[in-house]
Amino acid sequence: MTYAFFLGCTVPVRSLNYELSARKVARAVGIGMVDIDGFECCGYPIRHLDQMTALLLAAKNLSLAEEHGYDICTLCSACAGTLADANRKLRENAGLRHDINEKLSETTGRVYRGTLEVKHFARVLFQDVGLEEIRRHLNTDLSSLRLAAHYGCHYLKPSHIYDSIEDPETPHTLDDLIEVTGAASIAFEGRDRCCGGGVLAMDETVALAMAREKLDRVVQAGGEALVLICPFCDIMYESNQRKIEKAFNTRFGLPVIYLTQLLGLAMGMIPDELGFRLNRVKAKDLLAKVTHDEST
Amino acid sequence: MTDGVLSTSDRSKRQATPPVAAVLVVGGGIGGIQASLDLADSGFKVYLVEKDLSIGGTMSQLDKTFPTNDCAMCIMSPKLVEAGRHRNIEILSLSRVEDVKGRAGAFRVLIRKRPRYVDLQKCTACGDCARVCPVRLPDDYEVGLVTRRAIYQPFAQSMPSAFGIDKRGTPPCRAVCPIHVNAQGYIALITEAKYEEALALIRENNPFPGITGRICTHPCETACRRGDVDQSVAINGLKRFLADRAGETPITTPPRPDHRERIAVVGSGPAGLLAAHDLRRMGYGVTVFESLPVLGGMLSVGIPEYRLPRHVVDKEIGTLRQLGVELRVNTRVGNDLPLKSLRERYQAVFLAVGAHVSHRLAIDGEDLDGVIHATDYLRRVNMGDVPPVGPRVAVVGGGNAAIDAARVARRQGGSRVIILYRRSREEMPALPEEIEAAEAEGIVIEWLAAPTSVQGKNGRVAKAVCVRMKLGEPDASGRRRPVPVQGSHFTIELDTLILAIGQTPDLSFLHQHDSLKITAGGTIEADPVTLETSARGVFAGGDAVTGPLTYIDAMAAGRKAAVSIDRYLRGEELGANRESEGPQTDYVRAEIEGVPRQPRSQTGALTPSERVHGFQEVDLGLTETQVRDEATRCLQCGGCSDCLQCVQACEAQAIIHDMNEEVGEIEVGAIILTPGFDAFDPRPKSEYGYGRFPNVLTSIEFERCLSAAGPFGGHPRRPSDGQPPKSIGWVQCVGSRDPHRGVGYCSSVCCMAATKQAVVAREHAPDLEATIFYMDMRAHGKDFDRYVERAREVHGVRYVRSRISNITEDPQHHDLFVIYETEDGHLVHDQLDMVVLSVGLLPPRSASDLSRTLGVRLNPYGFADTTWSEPLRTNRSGVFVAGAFSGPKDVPETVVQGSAAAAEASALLAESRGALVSEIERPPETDVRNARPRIGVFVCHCGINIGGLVRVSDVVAHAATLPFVVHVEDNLYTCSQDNQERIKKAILDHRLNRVVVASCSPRTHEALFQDTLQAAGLNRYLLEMANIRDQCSWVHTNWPREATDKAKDLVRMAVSKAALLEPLPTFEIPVHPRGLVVGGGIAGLTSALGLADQGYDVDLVEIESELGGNLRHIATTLEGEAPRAVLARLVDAVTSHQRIRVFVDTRIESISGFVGNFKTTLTTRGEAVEHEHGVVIVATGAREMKTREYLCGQDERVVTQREFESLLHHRPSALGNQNSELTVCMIQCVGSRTTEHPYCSRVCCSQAIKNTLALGERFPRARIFVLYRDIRTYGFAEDYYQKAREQGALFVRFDPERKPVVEKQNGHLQVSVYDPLLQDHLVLTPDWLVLSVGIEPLESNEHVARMLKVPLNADRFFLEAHMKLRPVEFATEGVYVAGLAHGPKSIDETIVQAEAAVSRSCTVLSKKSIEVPGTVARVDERKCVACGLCEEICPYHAVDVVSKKTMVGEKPVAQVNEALCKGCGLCTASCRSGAIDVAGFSDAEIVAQMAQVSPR
Repeated sequence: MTYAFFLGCTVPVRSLNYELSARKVARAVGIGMVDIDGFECCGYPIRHLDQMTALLLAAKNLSLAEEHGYDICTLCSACAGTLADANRKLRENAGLRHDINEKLSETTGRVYRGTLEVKHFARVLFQDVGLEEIRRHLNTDLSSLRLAAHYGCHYLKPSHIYDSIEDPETPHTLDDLIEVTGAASIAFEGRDRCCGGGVLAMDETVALAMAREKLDRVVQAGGEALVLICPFCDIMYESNQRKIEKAFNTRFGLPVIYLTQLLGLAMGMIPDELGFRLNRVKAKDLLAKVTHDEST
Repeated sequence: MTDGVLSTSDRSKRQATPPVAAVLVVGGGIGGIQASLDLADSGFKVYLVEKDLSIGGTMSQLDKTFPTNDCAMCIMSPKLVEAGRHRNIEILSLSRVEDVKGRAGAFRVLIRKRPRYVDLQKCTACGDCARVCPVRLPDDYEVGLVTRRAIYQPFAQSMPSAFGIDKRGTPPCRAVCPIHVNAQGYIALITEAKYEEALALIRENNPFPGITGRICTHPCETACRRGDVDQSVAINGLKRFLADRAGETPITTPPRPDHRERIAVVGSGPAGLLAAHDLRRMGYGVTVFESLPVLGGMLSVGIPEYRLPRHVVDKEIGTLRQLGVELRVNTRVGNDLPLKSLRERYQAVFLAVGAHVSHRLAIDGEDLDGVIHATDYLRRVNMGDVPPVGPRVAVVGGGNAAIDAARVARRQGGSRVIILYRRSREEMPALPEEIEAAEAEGIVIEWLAAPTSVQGKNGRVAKAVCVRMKLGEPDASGRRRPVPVQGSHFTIELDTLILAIGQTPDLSFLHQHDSLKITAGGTIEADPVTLETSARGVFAGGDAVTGPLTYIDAMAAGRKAAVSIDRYLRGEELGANRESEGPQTDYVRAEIEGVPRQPRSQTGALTPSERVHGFQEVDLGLTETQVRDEATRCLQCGGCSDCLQCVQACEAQAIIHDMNEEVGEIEVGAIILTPGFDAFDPRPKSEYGYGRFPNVLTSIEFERCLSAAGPFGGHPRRPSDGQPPKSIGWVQCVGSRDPHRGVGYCSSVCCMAATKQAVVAREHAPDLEATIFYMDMRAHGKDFDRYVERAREVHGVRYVRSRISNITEDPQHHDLFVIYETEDGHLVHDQLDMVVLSVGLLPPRSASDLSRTLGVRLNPYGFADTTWSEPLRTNRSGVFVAGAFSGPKDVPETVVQGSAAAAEASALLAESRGALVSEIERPPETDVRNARPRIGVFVCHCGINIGGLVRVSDVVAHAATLPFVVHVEDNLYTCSQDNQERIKKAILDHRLNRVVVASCSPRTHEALFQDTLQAAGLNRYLLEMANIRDQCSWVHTNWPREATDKAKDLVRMAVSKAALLEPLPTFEIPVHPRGLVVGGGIAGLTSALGLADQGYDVDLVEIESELGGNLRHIATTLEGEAPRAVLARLVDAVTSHQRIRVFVDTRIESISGFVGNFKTTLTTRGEAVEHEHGVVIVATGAREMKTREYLCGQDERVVTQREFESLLHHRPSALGNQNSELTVCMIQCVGSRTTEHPYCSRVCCSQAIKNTLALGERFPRARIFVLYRDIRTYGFAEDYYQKAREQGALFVRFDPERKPVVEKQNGHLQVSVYDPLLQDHLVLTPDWLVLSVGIEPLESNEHVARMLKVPLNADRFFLEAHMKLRPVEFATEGVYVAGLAHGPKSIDETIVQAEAAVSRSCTVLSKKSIEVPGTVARVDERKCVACGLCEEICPYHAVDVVSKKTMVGEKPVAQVNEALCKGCGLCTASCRSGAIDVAGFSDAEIVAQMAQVSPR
């Protein structure tokens, strides 16, 4: 299994720990990741202003991957959503594909034929690798951990662009991927709510209040860390955690880790390899709990 | 005459033979029941087909009904009883229509009837069977909230009143078992701690539960459905527990009488023993010959003791001895006892000698000392002759024998035991648990390795040279063939080598002259099905034939042999019908969705270090607690488990487990389809969390929670914690008005149902916060808006206008949250303890089948396709529909349609009316008036329902001491058919003239016993019942002594009343077979034509000079069709019908009289004529409301919807040309839902949308605004609402507190309305303002109502007798109502109601005379003071105060019209001078009863 590795804009800038851990985990479970020169913005930021331009951007990325013969795997949920949506539209609507290709070839000399699949890395892990195979690579017991899964929105919705493989109201892949490590994926109210990132640019107070609500509930439910699969959610829960604490005069100190970091730990990789130093909310206690065997 | 609506009247032309006077009604819900009763009461035979055990449908599941809050079951159960007891109705339960041939008037219908497994004639529904049934299945009547037994009746009032068994098929465990042990059955019995019964059930098929529970390879567990949830049920462990617990329980089943024939069985392994067992049980003499000194074959000499202790084998083989099987050891058939002589001495021989000779490996060194074959090794160990093994042991092989040998060697001091197996673990035939146990004991298994030679030292084995293997292509066994790997040789040093690579039978005992054929493989040749060998009378089976297989396979062979030998001896065909023997692949699997995980119980076991020091049994078995837990894990795949406990419990012997499906043909003239609806399954709408969040229920589930007879006794509880909820939210439109889910229509009933549920829930818990989240409040029915207002104002139900998008849950406490935005823009988070999803109505699952079978068309939503003008007709002539099958509707509309469909069907068959119904023969009544009472008392045991608690013998003895009692007897079931004969005989033998039955409720059984009295020549009112079951044994279950005393009291009271009983005469009142229809609109026209088509004369009276009523003013229907043509045809048909007299310009001067005998004075242009009628149908209609609101009548641009419709269709140019940019504003609810007219006019929303669509079509550039309060486009009309919005019409809601304001500004109309969504005023300047002015009743209603003595409601519409179940009739018999006179309704609803009125009329007109029951009020004229209270109070207007000559001279006195009296007793209770008594319940009789109550 080899994929074109689509990093997008946010991961390589803000979430190097995600990229780092994802690459390690991919290698461990036998997924090849090819970096392709020329990948650009997925199109998400201008989607709501100019659909055609957004499609054009997506189509260029898709055509590049197609040329190399790899399906696309993304780390960012927004990239996954945008590219999958564009891909679906272009595959199903020949007229649209024709129009886009006309512009695309005009500006870049490329065309997209519509032969690709776009998948989020978590789906690759769940569907293509499978829990059984992942379990074979695990060697560290994480059963002492109680973790909160946060799916975010673009990973699930709109579900039809992902062929409705998962009911967005009752998602389970992230829980399963957490629980395969032995850790408990805890239930808490409002799990399926937005992180707030969508309104951050418009109204910071609302966005922070939304993120705060979830942090509150995770802590109340006894969660020791939030597990994410999207760098945008990370901005809300991790980068802005101090800000939230200040704004609401409260204290969380809740570690926010990427799924790939968690899987890496369960595979016995050391925290440094997985970029834990780059986590802004330090996961010291958490790591102490699961790696104490090595220190003795 | 013309076609269309008149197709019933021109039927006679086409049809030569008279039609069949029978009707098939498909579906036993309230609609089907109503149709059946109407037909049966008007002279037709009815077959009522019901798919379930009982009729009753959805209504039987409801708690209360809106808007009257009557208990649904209370008002319905009299109808159930009536339908169940009606002579002309045959209920075909558990049935479905398989095929329909023929045409209207003569259908031939194929009915497939599933077996009930209970004899309807014998079952008395006492319930003793259900009490012993160990199976618990989700209770579908209770929507799965609780469980029920496999033998059950859905609810107490079920009809037919009988139990039935839920058999779903053979469960996997039993099907795949080679000898079909009923695992589900004994597991179910274990759940009830019925261990003896469970063991007995196993022994029916298998005399060796202890052995089987230990060593069986349990195909049952492999197939177990539970394995798909978590792990299979530990069936072996359960079986073993039962066997171990049993101690020395002897076999209880005695063998049947002996046959003469004797049978020899050679070999005492499992095959031989089971054959011996089966044959002995069949009654044959059996001798088993065993060459070894011990019995059991491989059980004793092959399987090591740590797996199967010898005492278990000995004990279970011992049971065979108890059965009378002769067992001989140390007797080798062969030389000293040749087979030949066996064949001479025995009539049949079964050879089951097993396979005890080991295969040789055929390699060098195999004969060295220290090389031993596994079977020999194990046999010697088992027989106590312990061969030495060295410390280093290698075992070659991969079967159970190899593992056994290795584990034995380990116990014998083998410190390094290795198993060499040439394939990989996956291919290893040994049981996985055995392999694991071996590994746990320290045995090393070398996969993919095989010895190539054995090398010795001093004649003893010293080492084995082995080679590594790899797997190649699959071989004949399907497994991949092992291939040696070049150059991979290695050596193992060893002291002992055990070879376990297979066995063959030892056939050295056979002689040439035995002429038995042997196969190339060295086994006996035998037929695989019959086990016959080449020698006659000699059968062979087990390992001796098949080579080594499993224990249970050998058992199966033994069983097969027994069947063959029995057939052989009887001279029957050996090979016929043997498909059901051996493992079956046809089985049922339980539904596993939502089954909670519960891991399998683990048996205790010795630790590996304990094991290797001896031969103690490793597996310690399950404890009793574990066994009980484990048994509850069974999913009861088969439903009924065939444990037959019910058969033993049923005193009436009504249970027939081998009942078969029946297919039969019936002939009917017409078919009515009333299959009802199915509820929307909210699971796919996962945003509401149904199925995930325990406290989210569907409305049907909540209905059962509210029901006093439901699982929670009427007090709703949160499923998550059993606490009473403090707040409940109702989410409306779940599966309705949702085009994305394919359900675009409105389900019509949910708004009211939710309101009712909220009201009732608050009545249970006044502190409850009840919130209904809705889009439009659709309270369009009669008195519905009042009900909603009361809910809001009086009951404090909160209504929130919002479509809830999702529900979340606090996973710890299972509290629920909804978020909604109020209209003023605030976001509200509501925390709720419970959420009820108001699920929509879907077409019934059977719809597509019915459509296919009957060739009936469905609409795009899957409901029956009908039209507005013929709402009950399908595309197939003679096939009608009623109820929710043609679209969602509530109970009254369903009942109306049921009646109306009955009218359609009976009109079709009118000429054959009465052809298939018989009158009851009544013997002349014995005159008992002056005879001394001779009372017979019959005391019922009701199985153990009464007899189990009340000492019936005491009651009988007591009754015998009472005055006038000349005969007493007790019966197991007094109501059973044979006991009716006994009662009749007792009446004649003992010259009884009064009868007391002490049993159950007169509600269900009085009519039965009354009929029995009548058949014996006694007046039916000479019966008295004492309810010693429902009111005694059932309510005093822990007080047997007191209950017995009470039963005596009840009997004594009944006897004392019985002594005073008088024969009551029943009257016959003649019926005048002519109907009067008042009103010539669509309702009146339809009614008149309907009655005439039924063959009755009709007078149709219209006050105006023209027929047609309001329909004349309607240009199109919502569907866009013009009703004019239909109306014209109808008027034509009525005026030309020879049975109809039309009186136009005629008013009714007066109506007097009563049912069957009305006298009507009609005045036509000043001339008055009196006519006589049997029935009256009130179809006087209503009119468009008059208003001056919103400049109506003051500006020509302000028009009503009707006027606008007329403009649109007849003078569109007045509105503008095609490109006019018209602005049209409509205002809804003008004059409706106001203080003066608090009701909804029901049709105006559809009318507005109809005109909106027409306007939009004609004037594409028109801008249309509809100002509304709630859009009430119920049912399929919702589609048009959707269409109007799509077409661009803007719908703006307003609050009644902030109504639109209409003014004239500079000559322009200006409408200003506050839009709650924009939170601002919207100012419109329409070219036309269209007002939806609604419908108002006629003033003349009061006059008509007074004449007919029928009531009006507060809005002055006619008020029917009962809003739900008697929607077209009045308490006053013989008077019916239809159309707008009853309340606002649409055209199709009017037509249906008119037909329903016809149907109800026919139940009167079809009789020559009406029978009046004897229990009517009687006036003692001497005491009456003519105060008139009784007249005032009588709900049936049966009492009048008249001046009359009496015994005490002429005076005013109360007079009872017996034809109208219902015997309710209100007059008796109200009479101050004690002048009125109800016959059969006189003061004297009641006082006599009271006087007998024992002081306590």
